[in-house]
Amino acid sequence: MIRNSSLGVLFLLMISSMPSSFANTQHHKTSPSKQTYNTPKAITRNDKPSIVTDSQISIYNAHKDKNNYVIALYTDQPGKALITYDSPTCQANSYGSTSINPKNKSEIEFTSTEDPLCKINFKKTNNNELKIIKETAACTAWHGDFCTFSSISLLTRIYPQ
Amino acid sequence: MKLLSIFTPYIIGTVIFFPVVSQAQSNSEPQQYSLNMIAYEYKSPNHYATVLYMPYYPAYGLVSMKSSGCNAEIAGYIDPFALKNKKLTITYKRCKISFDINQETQELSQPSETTSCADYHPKNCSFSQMPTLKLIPLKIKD
Repeated sequence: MIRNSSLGVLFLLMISSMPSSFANTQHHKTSPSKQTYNTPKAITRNDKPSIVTDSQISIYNAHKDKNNYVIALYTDQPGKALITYDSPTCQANSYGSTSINPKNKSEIEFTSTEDPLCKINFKKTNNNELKIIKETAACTAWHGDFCTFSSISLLTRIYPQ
Repeated sequence: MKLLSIFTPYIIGTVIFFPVVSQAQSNSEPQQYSLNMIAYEYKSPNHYATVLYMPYYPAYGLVSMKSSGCNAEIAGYIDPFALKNKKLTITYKRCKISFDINQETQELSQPSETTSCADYHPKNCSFSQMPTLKLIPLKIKD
C-alpha cells in the first residue's frame, strides 16, 4: 500500500511538475526569440539609411519636334507618379500610382487616379531608358486624339544622371 | 460697315505678316524646350523627401517622405493662384499640403498640412515636419 501510494505521489509530482517545465521552456524560448527577431530588424533599420541617401525618384524625358513628354516615378518600387505631355495641339497631364510586375521587375504599370481604367505600361530597357509598351483605350479620353504616346515611345532618364 | 472697310487692310496684313515672322524666328533660333516639371529633394542618411510639380495648368504635384519610421506620399492638384503668390499647394481630396517657394535660395520650405492629411501618413510623422528641400536642376537631353 505504502509502495503503491508513494508511487502514486511520485506520479502526481511528475505530472504537476511537467506543465511548469513546459511553461518555463516556452517562456525561455519566447524571450530569446524576441531578441533574435528584434536584432535583424534593428540591423535592417541601420542598413536603410544607405538606401535613403540615394535618390528615390526617377525623372524621364523625351521630346520630338515641339512635343515634350516628362514622367516622374519610382522605378524600383510602387509609388505615386506624375506624367505630363506638352505639344502645340495637346496638353495632357496626369497623376497616379505605379505597380511593378512581380514576374518582370523591369515592367511598370501606371494607373491614373482620375480614371483608373487608364493604364500605361512601361518597360525599363536599361538604367537610362523607359519605353512605353502600351496604353489602354481609356487614356485616349484623357489625352485626346492629337497626342499618342507611341509617337514618343522612348524616354531618357534625366534625373538621377 | 465703315469701320470694317477701314480695318480690313490691317486685318489682312496682320494675317499675312505674322506667319512669316514666326517662321523666321523658328529658322534662326534654336528651339527651346520647356520642361513641365519642377523637382525638389532632400537627402540625409536617415531621411529622404521629394516634391515634384507641374507649373503649367492643368497641374499636378507629388509629395513623398521616407525614413525608417515614416513612409508617406500623396499626389494631387496644384493651386494655380497660390503658385502665383509663391506658394505651392497640393490638394488630394480634403488633404492640403502647402510650401513656401523661395526662388532666390531655390528652396521649398515652411511645410504645413490640413488635419485630413493625417489619413495619409503614420501618426508619428507629418508632412509639416518635412525639412527644407533644394531644387533639382533638370536638363533636357537632346
